[in-house]
Amino acid sequence: MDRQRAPFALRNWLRALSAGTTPEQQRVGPRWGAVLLLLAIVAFLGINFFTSAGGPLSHYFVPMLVISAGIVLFLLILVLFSVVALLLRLRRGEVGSQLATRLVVIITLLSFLPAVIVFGFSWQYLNRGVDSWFSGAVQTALDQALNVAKAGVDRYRNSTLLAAESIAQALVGESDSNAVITVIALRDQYRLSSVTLFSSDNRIIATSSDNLSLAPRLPRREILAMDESHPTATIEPEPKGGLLVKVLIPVLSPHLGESNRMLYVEQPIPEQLTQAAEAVQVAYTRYHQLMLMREPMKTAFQLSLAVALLLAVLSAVWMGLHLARRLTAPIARLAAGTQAVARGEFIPLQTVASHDELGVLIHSFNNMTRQLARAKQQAAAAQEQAEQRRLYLETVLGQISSGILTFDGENHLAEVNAAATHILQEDLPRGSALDALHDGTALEPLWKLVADWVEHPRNGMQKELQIERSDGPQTIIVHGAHFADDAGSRGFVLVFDDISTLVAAQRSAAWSEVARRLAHEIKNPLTPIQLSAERLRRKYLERLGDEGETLDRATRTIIHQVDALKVMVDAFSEYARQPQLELRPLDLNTLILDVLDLYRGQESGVEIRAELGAGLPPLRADVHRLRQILNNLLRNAMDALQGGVESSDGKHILIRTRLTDAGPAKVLELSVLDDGPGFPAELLARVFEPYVTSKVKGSGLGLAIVRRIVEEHGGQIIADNQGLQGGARIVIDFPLG
Amino acid sequence: MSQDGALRLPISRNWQQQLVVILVGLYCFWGLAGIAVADPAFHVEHLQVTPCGDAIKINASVQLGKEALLQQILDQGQTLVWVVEAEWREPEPFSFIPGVGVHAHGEERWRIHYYPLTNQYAIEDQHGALTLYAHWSAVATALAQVHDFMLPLVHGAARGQVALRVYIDVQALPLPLRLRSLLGHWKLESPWIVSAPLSH
Repeated sequence: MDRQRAPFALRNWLRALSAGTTPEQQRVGPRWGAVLLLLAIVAFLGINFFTSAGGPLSHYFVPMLVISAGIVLFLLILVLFSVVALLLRLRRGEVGSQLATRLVVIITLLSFLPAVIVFGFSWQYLNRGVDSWFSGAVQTALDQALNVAKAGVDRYRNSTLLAAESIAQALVGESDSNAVITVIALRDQYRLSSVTLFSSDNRIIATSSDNLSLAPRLPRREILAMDESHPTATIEPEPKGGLLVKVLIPVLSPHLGESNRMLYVEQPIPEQLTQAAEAVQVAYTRYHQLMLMREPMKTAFQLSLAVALLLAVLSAVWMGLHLARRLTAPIARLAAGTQAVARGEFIPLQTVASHDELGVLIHSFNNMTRQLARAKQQAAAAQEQAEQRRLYLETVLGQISSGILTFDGENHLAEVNAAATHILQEDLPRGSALDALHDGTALEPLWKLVADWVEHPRNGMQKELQIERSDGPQTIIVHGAHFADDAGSRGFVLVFDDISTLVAAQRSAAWSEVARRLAHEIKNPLTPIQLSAERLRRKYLERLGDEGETLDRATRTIIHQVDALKVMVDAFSEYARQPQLELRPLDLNTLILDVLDLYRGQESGVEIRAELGAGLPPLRADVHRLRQILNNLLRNAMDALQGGVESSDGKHILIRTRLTDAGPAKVLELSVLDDGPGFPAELLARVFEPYVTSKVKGSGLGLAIVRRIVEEHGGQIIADNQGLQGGARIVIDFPLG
Repeated sequence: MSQDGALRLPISRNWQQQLVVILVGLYCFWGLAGIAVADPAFHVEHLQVTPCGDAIKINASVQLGKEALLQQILDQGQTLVWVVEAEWREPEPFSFIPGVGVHAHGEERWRIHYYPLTNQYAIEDQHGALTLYAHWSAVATALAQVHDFMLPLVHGAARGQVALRVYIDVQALPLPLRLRSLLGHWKLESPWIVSAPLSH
C-alpha cells in the first residue's frame, strides 16, 4: 500500500512543484520552489566563491558543483513537467491555457534573450581576458630573462669550474703535505668559498674554507657516485636560500698506477644575482603555470557561466509558469463557472484571497450565480406549484361528471376533460379550431350553437339541446362563459352535462304519476260499472226474452271492457307501484327453466331455446320481479312472432345467460332474442317508454315495467335488432355483488 | 620509495521516480563520464611484502604511464604530490565496502618540483630532504620504485592482505587543474593491488 502511495505522493509533490499549486496545498508548490531556487542561487554563489577563493574550502568545490548541477537538473525537470502539463492543457483546449502559454513564452524570451546575450558576451570576454594574459612578447621576455639568469649563474659555475681546474692542475704531482699549502693559497687567490682535496679512499687530504667550522662540508653522495675521470659542476639550492656551485674534479696523478685524488670546490653565487635569478625563475614558473591552467580556467569559468545561465533561465521559466498558472487559474475558474451556469449549475466559485480585478470579478460572479440560483429555485418552486395546481385541476376536471371544454382566444380547443369525451362520444384533439369541429358530425348542433355564441358574444350562455344518436336522442345542457387567459387574450369555457337520463327519469316519473292517477281515477268506477251491468243483466235479461238480445250484448260488452280496463288499470298500478324488493340470492338459470316450463305445453308454434351459462354465480334479486321480467319479455317475443310472417324454419326464441366483464366488475348478462321482425326503427329509441308499442293489443307498459325492475336492481337494459336473423334482442346486465 | 591506495566499489534504483533517477543518473553519468572511462595512469607491479616485527616492509615497482603528461605539468612549473598509500586488510563481512576491514593504513608523500633555472627536478620527502635530478628519466626511475615502505601494524587478525596504490594527489592541485582532473582528462592514479594473504 505504501508502495502504491509513494509514487502517488511523489506525483502530487512533483505536480505541486511543477504546477506551482495543488487544490489541497496551494502554497506548497511556490514555497518549495522558492526554497529550491534559493538553494540553487546559494550553491551557485558558493561555487563562484570557492572557485575564486581557491583556499582550503576549495575542497568543497566538487560537491558544491554536483549539488548545483543537481538543483539545475531538478529545476529542469520541474520546468519540463510544467511545460508538458501546459501543453496537455493547451491540447485539451482548457480555458486560460493559451494565455498561460503566451505568458510563458514571453517571460522565457524576456529572460532567455538577455541571459544568452550576457552569456555570450561574458564567454567572449572571459576567453579574450584569459587569452590576453598570455602573449608571445611576455613569454619571449621571460625566456630571455631566464636565459640571462641562467647565463649569469652559468658564468659563476664556469668560473668556479676554471678555478677548480687550475687548482687541480697545480696540485698535480704535489705531495699531500704540500697540497695543504697549495689549497689554502689558491682558495684565497681564486676567492672560493671552500676547497677540499680527497684521496681516492675519500680521506680528506687538505681543506680550506670561509666557514670557521672545523669539519668541511662533504660532497653529496650522488656527486661521489659520478664518473671520476671527468669534472662535474652543478648548481644546487641551499637550504637557507641562495644557490651554490659545486665542482668535483679529479687531480691526476703523475705516477703510473697511483690512483687519482678528487678536488671538491664550493662557491655560492652572489646574493644579488641569486635573488634576481630566483625572481626570474618564479615569474617564469608562474607564467607557465598560468599557461598550464589556461584551458582549465576557461572551462571553470564556462561551467560557472553555464550554471548561471541555466539557473537564470530555468528560474525565470519556472517563475513564468508559476505566474501564468496563478494568473490564469482564476480565469479558468471563471470560465468553468460560466460553463456550469450555461448548464444550469449555479455553483459559486472558490474565492480568491486577492483584492485585484480578478478577485472583484470572481466576487461579482459569485453574487450573480447566487442570485441566479435563488431565481432558479423560485422559478422551480413556482413551476412546481403551477404543476401541482395543473395536476390538481386536471384531477378535478377528470373526476367531475360534467364535460368541460376550454378554447383559447383564437378559438382553438385548449383543454378537454374525460367527461367531455365520454358525453360527446368523440375524441376531440387539442388545438382543433372551432370551425373545424362541426363539419358533418352528430355534434354539429352543439358547435353551431357555440359558434353563434362566439360570434355574438354575450356574458354567458345556457342552452339545452338534443343530439341525435343511433341509440336515440341525447339531451345535454351547455353552459358557456368567456374568460381572459394569462396572455390577456380572451377565451371561453364550455361546461355541459348529459341530462338524457335525467330527462328519461323525469319522463318516467311523470308517466308513473299519470299511471297512478289513471289507476286511481279509473279503477274506482270500474267495479260499480261492472256490478251495475251484471245487475241489469240479471234483472232484465230474462224479462225481455228474445228482445233482450241487445241488452245481453251490451252488458256483456260492458263487462268484458271493464275487465279489460281492470287489466289495464292493474298494469298502470304495477308501473306506478313503488319498489318494495325482497332481495335474496337466486340461481338465474333455475328461475329461467321454471318460467320456461310454463310455456312448454303451449301450442303457439314458437320454439323456445335456452343457452344458459354454466357455473353462474348466484344473483341477489327479487325472484318475483325477475319472474315478471322473464314473463314480459317472453310474452312480448311470442306476441311479436305470432303477429309476424310465417317462416319455413319456424319461430324461435332464445334465452341466453352468461358471465361477462364490464370494466372492473363482473356482470350477469341475460339476453332474449327472437327471429321476428324486430323493433320498428322509429320506435327503437323509445321502446322502454310507456305506451310505446307496435302491437295492436297491449298496454304499452311491458318493456317500461321491465326497465323499471332492471333499474330497481341496479342493472342496465338495451334493445336492438340484433336478434336471431335480425330479430329483436333485449340485453339486461345485472351487476354482481 | 613506497606507495599505497583505496578500493572504489560500484553502487545501484517507477515512473516519475524512475524518470527522475534516470535523468539524474544520465546527468551524473554525463558529468562524471570522463572519470569512469579514463584508464589509470599507473600500475603497481611485483608487490613484495615482508613481515618485520610489528610492521610490514613493502617493496614494489610502479609502471608509470602518462610520463609525458607528468613531465609537461612539472615543466610548466606545477608542483605535484606523489602519494604512496598502503593498507592492511583483514577478512570481515562486507569488506567489499571501502574502509571496512582496514586495520592499518599508511602513506608517504613526496613533492616533485622542476627548477627551470638549473634544469633540475627535485623530489622532496616529508622531512624536507631534497633530491635533485638532472634528467626526467632519473625522476621516473626514482618514482618507479617503492622501496622498503614500512606499514606499521597496530593490531589485527592473524591473517590479512596488504593493498598498495600510488597516485598524484589531485586535491593538492590548483582548482582549475583539479576540475580538469574531475572531468576525466587525467586519472593520475593506480588501482589497488593486493598481496597474497599472509600471517603476521
